[in-house]
Amino acid sequence: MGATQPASLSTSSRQGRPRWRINLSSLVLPLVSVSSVVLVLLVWYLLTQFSVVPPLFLPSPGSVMARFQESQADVLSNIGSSLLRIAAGFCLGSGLGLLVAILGGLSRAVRDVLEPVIQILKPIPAIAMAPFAILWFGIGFSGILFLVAWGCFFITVVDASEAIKNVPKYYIWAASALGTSRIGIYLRVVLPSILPNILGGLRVAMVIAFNQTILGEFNTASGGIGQTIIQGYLFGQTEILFVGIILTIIVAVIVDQLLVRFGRWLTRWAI
Amino acid sequence: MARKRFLLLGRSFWSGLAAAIALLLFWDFAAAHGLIPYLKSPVDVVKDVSDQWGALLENAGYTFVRGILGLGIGSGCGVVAALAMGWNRYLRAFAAPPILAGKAVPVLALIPIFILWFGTGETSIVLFIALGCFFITFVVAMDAIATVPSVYLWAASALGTSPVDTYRRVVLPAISVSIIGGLRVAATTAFPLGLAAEFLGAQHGLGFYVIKATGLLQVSPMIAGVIGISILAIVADTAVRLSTRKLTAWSEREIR
Repeated sequence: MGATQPASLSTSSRQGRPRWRINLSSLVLPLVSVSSVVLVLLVWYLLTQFSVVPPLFLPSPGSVMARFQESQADVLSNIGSSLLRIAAGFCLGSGLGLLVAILGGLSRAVRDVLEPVIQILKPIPAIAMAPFAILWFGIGFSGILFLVAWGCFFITVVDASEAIKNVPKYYIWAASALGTSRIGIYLRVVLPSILPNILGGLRVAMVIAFNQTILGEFNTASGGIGQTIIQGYLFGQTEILFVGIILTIIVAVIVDQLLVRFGRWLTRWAI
Repeated sequence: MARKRFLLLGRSFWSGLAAAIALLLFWDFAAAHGLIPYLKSPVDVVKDVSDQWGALLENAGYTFVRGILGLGIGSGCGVVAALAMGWNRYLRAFAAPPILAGKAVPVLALIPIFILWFGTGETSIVLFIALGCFFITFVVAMDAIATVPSVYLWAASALGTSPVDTYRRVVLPAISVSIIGGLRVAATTAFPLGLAAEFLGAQHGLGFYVIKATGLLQVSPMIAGVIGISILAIVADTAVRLSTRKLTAWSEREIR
């Protein structure tokens, strides 16, 4: 679970190589990783430098950078408002999903009523809710909040219910033998023990939150990085389009890594 | 555990049916009493859509073909690329940044670039779906290759299996279950990705159908379109699951 980068899973220990080889590869592997990013940038630079592709389709890295510096305040405030929507929707949707999963675990009746309903609504693609979000909640903050929360809720509730079902029974027996209340068992035994298992689902929920927010912002006129991207496209300002997309990629990777680090810190007791 | 059965069907079927009826009743009630604004009752939706079944099916057909093409191209390339890049740890290190990005990046942000580069026709939508499916299967397969239990590899090399044979006969079967899991995710994601691309620029497809109805405030076609895309996603997922069930019958990991 822990290691997500193949680079960290080097085969060196597997084959029992001498120690200096291990140190060498731990230096070389990150360089190899960086080289693929450098390669992409190099190809991009060369394509624009020798005018293989017209700048309307692919602006040069330099011009994108210049455009970013020019419109820095604007773009950064847009990504800020997007992040606010993403965070709010993610917390609402995934929090609600976790709550419903715990209620379902606490009570058989709740589970029997909610599970089939969730099974029916779950296959509706979250993306398809975009027109309804606009219809029901308008083009402001609440529409995007609904869109993000809808997407995050289903993935989290399904993931967390599954994890709760798989909590080892003797954890619960031990806690209840020590006199922990039912609620106490859920808060202090079940919730911590499912965290390592739902972390993957929360990462997926975060990507969904980004996607839903950007989709919502494409269709509305309330700022956000999606607006930056779509306006760059609509007004033929490809530099702005690239600024928006590259910034989105960087921010999404950083948020994902923060989530992974935070999750690992929360579950540092697990091996 | 023996399941209790009633009229030859399991408990989950009956609870599902009850939930479906309850949802339909709630939907009808909410529409009749205006609990949810602009909602049409199920009967009204069927009535309104009944004279445009042809248009609905035609647009669903467009989305279906685009989705299948994108899914095939994207996940095919994803699996092949992963098998090529999973070969040794230097190649895996080279692929680490795209994997990192593939897990985190919201692909919908890339739709405008695809429309800019490939126009509003079929090419851009199919390629966009293919990109989404590529990353899903590539990331899943690369992760699976990196986490093949070392015991398998030790056992193979202790028995004198060559690296090529190890890759073909140990690694490939070991990752097949994960790859099928990735394919199922890709199959359910392909059509919604197409839908999102069609929202922004298309002359056909369910996304076009829904967004046109939204602009005209025609709620019935919107609902019909959303149900249509859900059915496509379910059918694709079921097809992948059933067609690959035999391949992974040996695995103890349950595929649901």
